[in-house]
Amino acid sequence: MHEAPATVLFGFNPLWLSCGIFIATYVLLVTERIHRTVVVMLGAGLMIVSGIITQDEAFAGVDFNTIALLTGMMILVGITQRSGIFQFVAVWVVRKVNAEPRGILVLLATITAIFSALFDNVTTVLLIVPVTLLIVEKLDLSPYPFLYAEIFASNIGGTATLIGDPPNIMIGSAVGFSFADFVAELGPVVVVIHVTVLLLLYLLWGKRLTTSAEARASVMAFDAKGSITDPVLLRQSLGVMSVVIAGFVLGESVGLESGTVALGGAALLLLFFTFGRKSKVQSTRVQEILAELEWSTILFFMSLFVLVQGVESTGMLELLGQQMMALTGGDVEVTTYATLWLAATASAVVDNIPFVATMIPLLESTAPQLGGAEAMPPVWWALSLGACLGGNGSLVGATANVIVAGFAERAGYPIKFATFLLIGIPVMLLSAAIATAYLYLQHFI
Amino acid sequence: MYNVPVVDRDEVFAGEISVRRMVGLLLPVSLSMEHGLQNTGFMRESLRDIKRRLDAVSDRPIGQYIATDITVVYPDSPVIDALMLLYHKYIRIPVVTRDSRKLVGGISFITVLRALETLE
Repeated sequence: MHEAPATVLFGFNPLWLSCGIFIATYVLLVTERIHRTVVVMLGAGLMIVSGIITQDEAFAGVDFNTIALLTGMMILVGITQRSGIFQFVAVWVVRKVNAEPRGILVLLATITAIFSALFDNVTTVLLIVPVTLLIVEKLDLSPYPFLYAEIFASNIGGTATLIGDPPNIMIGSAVGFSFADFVAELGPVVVVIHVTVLLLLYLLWGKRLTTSAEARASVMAFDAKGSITDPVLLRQSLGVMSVVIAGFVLGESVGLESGTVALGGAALLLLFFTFGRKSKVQSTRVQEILAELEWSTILFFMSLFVLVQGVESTGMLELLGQQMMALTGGDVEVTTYATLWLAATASAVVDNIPFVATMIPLLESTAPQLGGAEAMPPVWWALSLGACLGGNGSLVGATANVIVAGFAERAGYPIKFATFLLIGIPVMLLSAAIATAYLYLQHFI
Repeated sequence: MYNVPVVDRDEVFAGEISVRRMVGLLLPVSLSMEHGLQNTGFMRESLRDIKRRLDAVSDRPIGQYIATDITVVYPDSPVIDALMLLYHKYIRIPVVTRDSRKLVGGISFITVLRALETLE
């Protein structure tokens, strides 16, 4: 390996050059004319080619704990979903409320929130929305209340845990917050926000959610057990998921990081998934699961870390951090609220992943003014709450929203960008206001 | 399963309606759409449910459901082109005129065999 210090191409000022590459990348990300992974890969490549950072420095910027956690969870969910558990739970809760539309709305949204907290939001909606559409079609109801509820619930539920949403994975990994820290700190406020949003939707649509006894009977005829495609795999998946979550909670005390736990769990479930099969079946199964990994997301994260390492190395983020300190007066409470609302607004407009990847080193650089690392937790929780809840602000605020909109369109009920804003913005403002009150009560009273 | 070619009033080739598409119309939308439900083991459907969906579409024009991106061959296309298409993908390929795209027939393995028979 070469250890030559980086020399910037054509003698450009590295600060401005890195800033230029960074801004150009962001602009391209916002316009969405080129796929996000391609844009960020190009930006990251430019940071190295132009000599702002060396390849070694670039690799040092990649948070492999985040990558391992992300990859491990993708494998776990990829295998678990094959057991039919998501559909089973959906049909089961619908029958539990006797196919009563209001009960269905509340419970489908709630299981979406719970699944989003434990798995990724995109997989959750990919599996829950088709069942929802089927049930709603059978009940002869408009799917809109249900789809909106599921979008909001997936973003809100994802906020509650370390593994619920990528910003939390990054924050947890960078700051060292554990799975238990997230649940303890964000769990209660997430429950409050979820219930409040459901109440809001109920006020908006509750009265119109009625259907005939005949339609309800046709849904009550469903047999939830029929959705379990592989009972053995179901038990294995649930077993391994329990071990992984226990590992997240207990691992910290023995120095086991979340990336190791997730990838270890993935390896264990892959073992169960292939054990005792013929070697040809084994290789097909492993290849199938690995081919389903979202490689574009994994490369997106890695490239993003390199890109951010580029601007960070030139002191650009520190400079921005100082600007922020000048505005907030170096006060932790003001910085907390500013971070929350900035994150919520930004995440409604741009992808929350690059935003959080940039904010982490920026906020880290402001720690000395705010009273050191011990004073920082409220700011980190504000970043997590803002980035995750902000996703509800617009239809492009989160990938899960776009996926649901795609389903809605194919089912003949398109969700328009502007129409979504009418409900999305109030929901986002309400959630951020609750989060502000919570942070105040929890940390500053 | 054969696709059925569809022409407009001037006999210009408009597209094809597939049996798969028609079966899809009898299913709930959430089953027949892209990335829709795969596993339906929990569902219970009666013939009446299916009849209701058939009734909902039965008086709509077929043009709403045809696929228009259909591979065609022309009367002067080399037979080998059609054979390659039959080998790789299609059961039957519509034959249309080059300029006005009027439907003049179709070519399948069977029609090729018949042509070979007449050589004897």
